Amino acid sequence: MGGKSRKSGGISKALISRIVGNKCGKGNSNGTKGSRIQGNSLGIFKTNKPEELDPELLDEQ
Amino acid sequence: MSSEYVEKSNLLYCQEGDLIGLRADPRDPEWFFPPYNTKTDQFETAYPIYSGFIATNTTANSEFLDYQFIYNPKHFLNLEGSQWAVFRKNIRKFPLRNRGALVYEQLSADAPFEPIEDLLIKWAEDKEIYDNEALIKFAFEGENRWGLFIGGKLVGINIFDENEMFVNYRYCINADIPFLNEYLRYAFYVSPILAIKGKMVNDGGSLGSDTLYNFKTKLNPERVHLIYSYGQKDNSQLE
Repeated sequence: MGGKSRKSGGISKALISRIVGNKCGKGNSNGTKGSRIQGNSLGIFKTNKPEELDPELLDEQ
Repeated sequence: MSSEYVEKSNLLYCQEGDLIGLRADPRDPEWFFPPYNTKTDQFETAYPIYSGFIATNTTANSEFLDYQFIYNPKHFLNLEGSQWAVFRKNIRKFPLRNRGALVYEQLSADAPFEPIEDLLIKWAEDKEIYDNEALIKFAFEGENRWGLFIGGKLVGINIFDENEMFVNYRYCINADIPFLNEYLRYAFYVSPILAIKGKMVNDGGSLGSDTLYNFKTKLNPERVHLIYSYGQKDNSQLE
């Protein structure tokens, strides 16, 4: 790469806290929610936006 | 570029004469992307600009910034042919070597903070991170964050945003596990969400890393663009 870079630096708890605060998520154990999707090649997909998906792919959990 | 990226990178809309565009700092003469000239109805590159668009060309004041790898998600669906042999082998190795229920799912806005924080800090440890503040915002507040879990433990996060033309694959934050990087990319490209969006994927550049360049090249990009920065006024363009 010949061009310039934007500013760079590390990631620390202090920086994270300054940028986004220290939130305590209240999601479930995985921090996710939603419907399982079937018919994919991996068989591991879930989404929390079922309205965006083809209804044929959805299977209520 | 996307509206989410503009917001999370703290870019500001600025106007200067006939030019309208984005700047990281309104006091800085440098535009972040080519500004739009309302008089000529064109995007201009004859000014200091951090990053040109895919379609912008070289000029006397341009300097190579990075590549931009463009992928067609459909190419990842069957992985047939010798060009996919190594990738195919590697993504099969990951679940074989890592026992436990594998789940890839979208992280909700109230996802637990600590697993993401732990993963992000560990992943960033030995890396030079560009735009670390934007990365932190995307990691904790991104609208499209998908996590890979093994036995309930978060081991990787794919983060993307989108514009009219592309889904932009922003970040792949992952634990140090062999072949996880490949597996996360595979999960990203064959995800039904991506198929529904029906767009090509802009996977960014290589940030000067030969390793990253080789990794992205092996994923058989549809196109690789060269992106340029632009320096001081190019008078030849203005004549």
